[in-house]
Amino acid sequence: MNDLLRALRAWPTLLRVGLAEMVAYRAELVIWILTSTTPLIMMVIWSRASQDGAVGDYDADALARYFVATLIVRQLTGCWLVWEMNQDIRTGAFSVQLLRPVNPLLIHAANTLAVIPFRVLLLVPLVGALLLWKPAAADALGQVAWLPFALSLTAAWLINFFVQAMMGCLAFWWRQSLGIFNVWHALFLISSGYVFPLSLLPPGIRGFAEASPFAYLMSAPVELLSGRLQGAAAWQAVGGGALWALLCGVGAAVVWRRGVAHHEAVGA
Amino acid sequence: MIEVEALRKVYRSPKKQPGLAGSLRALFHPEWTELAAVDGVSFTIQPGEKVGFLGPNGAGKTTTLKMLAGLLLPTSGTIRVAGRTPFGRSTEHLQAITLVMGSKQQLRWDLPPTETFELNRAIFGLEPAAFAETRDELVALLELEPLLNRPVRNLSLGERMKCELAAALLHRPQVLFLDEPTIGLDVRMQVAVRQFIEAWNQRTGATILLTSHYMADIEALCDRVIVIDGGKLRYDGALSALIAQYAPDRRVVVRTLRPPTPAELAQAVGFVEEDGSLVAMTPPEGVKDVVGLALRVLPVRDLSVEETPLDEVIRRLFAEERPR
Repeated sequence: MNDLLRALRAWPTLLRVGLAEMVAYRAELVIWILTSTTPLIMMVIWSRASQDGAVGDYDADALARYFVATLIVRQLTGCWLVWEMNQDIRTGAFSVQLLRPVNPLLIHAANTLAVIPFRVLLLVPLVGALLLWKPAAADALGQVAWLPFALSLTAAWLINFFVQAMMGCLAFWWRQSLGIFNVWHALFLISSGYVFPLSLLPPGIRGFAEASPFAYLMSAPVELLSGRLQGAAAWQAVGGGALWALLCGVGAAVVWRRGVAHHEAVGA
Repeated sequence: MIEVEALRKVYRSPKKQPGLAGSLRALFHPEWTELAAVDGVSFTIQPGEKVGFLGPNGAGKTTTLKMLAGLLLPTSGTIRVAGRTPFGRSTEHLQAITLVMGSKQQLRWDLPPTETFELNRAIFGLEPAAFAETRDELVALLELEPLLNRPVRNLSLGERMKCELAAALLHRPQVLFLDEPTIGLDVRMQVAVRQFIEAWNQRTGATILLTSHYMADIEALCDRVIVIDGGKLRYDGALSALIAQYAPDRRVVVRTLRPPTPAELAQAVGFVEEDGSLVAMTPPEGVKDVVGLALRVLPVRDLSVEETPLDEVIRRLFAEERPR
């Protein structure tokens, strides 16, 4: 408990230093953030595809709303923990982190959260420009269930962070652990609603995708932000996200503990 | 302060024959080899002691330090550091120790050192007043003032090491594990780091276990040395006793006013030419006679009596080269 209290007390400083570091890396950061702008490309492609009529249950305006929301969710839940852990573990820098009385994952979490204000700064003009191009994308703002969206977004952030922590911990055993994350990312691209809405998938695959954590990483908060989920459906999305966040959190804790034990056994 | 008893660390690694066949065999029938990096090492270090930890590359020094710090789990044996078992890295243990590795850094690369100091204050939960006092003390001792607000990436290697030491000591640990803290530094910076470690030990009474390939570090800081080789303890005792055991001879070095004549050289029995000087090796009790001989038969400009360099002592120890 004392450790947790110390971590909580340290949190403001961790965030402040994390932000200072991110600002120092601003050029690299902008490039990283720009790599997460796939939704803009998808928006252009799907707006062409919907010129002759609706695609599935999405018309041109709905697609615009969907991909603006996708861009926002991707930016606010983005994280590069897996790459940082992989590098730190392989180079031995991780040992330094283990000799501090705060769990290194909490420090990484603070670093990840510290980037969010910077991401928002980049998002505001970008989303503003998109809304000028596609004003209909803002039409559904009045229908957004804001509390479920905020909770669903938090769950998406947690799922992403915990999954990356799990995959990052694999570097305790395998030098090529990033390869496994690449497989995960490929599944994410087709199963999360990142490049197309899940309702456009064939029914069998759609069922799998909607039950998987990928849907709660992207589709659930995106559909909430684009005003497509209301009432019970909105809270169902929150519940699914919370469940996956919990499962991924437990998984990350188990892999972390075993990974550190392995590290203690063989060194690095 | 540090008690180590029958400490052993065995690494298990896959054995693979060369070539494709070897790779396939290793895939389906993996074989393992075991290597004892540390093999039955025992020693005790009292509070406030400064101990040099010596050994060739791969001797097991860093593995031992990592076990003492709590980063590695011993295969067998016991360790107590400041009354606690390091493994598990309890908060109390981490508050009591620090491990500085010359080849690894905790400073945030793109930020000034002050940011890492602040981060450590928060992480170690230091009271602001105590933190400020220690920070100011370290800044003064290490002369860090001009460096504090420059990004770490713009500091020289030596300046970074001084900042590393400060960051590692802000929580005033009782035990310092220093693994090659002067590696890669120029002579001037090596001296500055040594002087700081000595001063910090005097001020705080911290216990120091130091590894270094620079014997000047050991000679300047440590009265006692622990030597390991192949994971086994080879020597534990006073540095002076080690020198007496493995290199008791003195070097009498004579520089002459002019090149000595063949006749003078013939009379200077025991002297040989070395780098423009004449050098004779003698046991301590023979120094008086050798010096007397040199003054009598050689055109002496300058004469000095030196102990065998510690590097040579260690080389002899590892080579099992006992004095005749």
